[in-house]
Amino acid sequence: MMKLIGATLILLSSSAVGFHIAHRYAERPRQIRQLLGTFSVLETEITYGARRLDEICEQLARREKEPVRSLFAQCAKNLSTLDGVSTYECWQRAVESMWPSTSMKTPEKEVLIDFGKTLGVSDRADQMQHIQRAKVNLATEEGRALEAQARYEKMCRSLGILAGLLIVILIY
Amino acid sequence: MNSSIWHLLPLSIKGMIESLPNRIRSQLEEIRVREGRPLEVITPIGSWFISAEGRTTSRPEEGYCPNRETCGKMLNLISNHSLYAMEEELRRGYVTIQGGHRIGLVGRVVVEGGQVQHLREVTGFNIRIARQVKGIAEPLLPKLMPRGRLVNLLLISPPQCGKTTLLRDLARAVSVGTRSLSSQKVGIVDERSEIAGCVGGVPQHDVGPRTDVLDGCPKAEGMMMMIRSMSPDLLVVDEIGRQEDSEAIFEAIHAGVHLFTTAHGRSMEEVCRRPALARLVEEGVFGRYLILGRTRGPGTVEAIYDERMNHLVYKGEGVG
Repeated sequence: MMKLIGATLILLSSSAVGFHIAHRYAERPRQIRQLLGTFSVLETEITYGARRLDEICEQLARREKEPVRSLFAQCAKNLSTLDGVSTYECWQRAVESMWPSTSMKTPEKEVLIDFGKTLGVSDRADQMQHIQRAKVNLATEEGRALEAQARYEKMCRSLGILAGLLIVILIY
Repeated sequence: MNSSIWHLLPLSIKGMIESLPNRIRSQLEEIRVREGRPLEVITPIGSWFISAEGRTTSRPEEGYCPNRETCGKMLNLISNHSLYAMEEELRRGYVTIQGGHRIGLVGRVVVEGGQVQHLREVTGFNIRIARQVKGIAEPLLPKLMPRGRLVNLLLISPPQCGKTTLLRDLARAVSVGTRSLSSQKVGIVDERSEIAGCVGGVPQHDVGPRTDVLDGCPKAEGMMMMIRSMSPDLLVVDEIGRQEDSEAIFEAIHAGVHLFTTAHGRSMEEVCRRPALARLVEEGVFGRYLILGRTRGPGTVEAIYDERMNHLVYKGEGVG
């Protein structure tokens, strides 16, 4: 009886690990897409609306879901409280603080950080160019993430269950 | 001092200004920040440099010199990290902020096709603190409105003598109504956002309940727009002087609208030497001329003339 309970536990936990990794593969393209959506809003608000950056960030923080929500919430907070330090620094700090809670990987982070260097510091035409470039880069990463998802998501799930089974069989 | 200015100053500068003696702090007219040169404050009682400990000094070498980082911070605070939203302001060289205060900006100008595109590397700021002085127009009104009727008025004054302050209060007084004159519809064409100090189209100064403001609009065009769209009884316009201004004025007064306006100058003679203004004076457009100076502080009324250049006696005080 004890053996049976132990075996179930092993199987369950190993499957859980597999499902968790698979979930990360599924989440990554979704989060990148979410970011792409916010960049479109950013583009409209900056080039046509000419609204203040902190207002735009607050608005995005209100309408988006986690984890993108906390990126903009943190950025808005940094912009209005950090005694005028550069926009890049506010943005970079926000990216760093939200990153552990995302499923995204380094390439996307680099795109975001790089984008921050130009955020807010030039005229509208220039801002539009930079936003569009960041969007193209993010779209590329999204493609890669989707590919990885197709390739690894199911595999991770099956591997989790199978590895659990293997261990159970070996122990028995 | 006003809180809307406090949050534009980087902490280092804010600390220095805050530690100024109250006598100076309460009278601040301008705070001047220039990269690599000493921080300066200007008040009606004099101007000083500020040392790093927040003491006033008249020796430039003792003054605290803001560095590039401080100026960058200040620009970030002024623009709210959104330079793209300030394109128009950077082209004009000043920003109006909440409370009607204005910040003049200088730096490297980017020119395209002979036209100023915008400012890059902003390295100099002049924070001009606006103070609305309500009620300064009251004692003047009987002289400026013979038999309780509106007449066209030209305010003549050198810079910094309270011309705009007086014009603003006159607009408010007419809009509210006085003992001899019922309240009138007033239209302000505020080319440089000085009279009403609009932020986002909303006047930051009290310009009266029946006053419409056309903010940032060229004067000549704005006067015509105002007449067509808002049917004002009184038009208020700042600093006329160009040819097209005087043409628009002729149009306006023939449309039955009254006009309060200002011109730079120290005396009637000086004003008459400027071609656009001379014609207006010759044609007898204005019913009253008021000359401001600062013999007894800014806003001293030096003289009032009627349409035939008769000197009307007025014993006034400095009005701020």
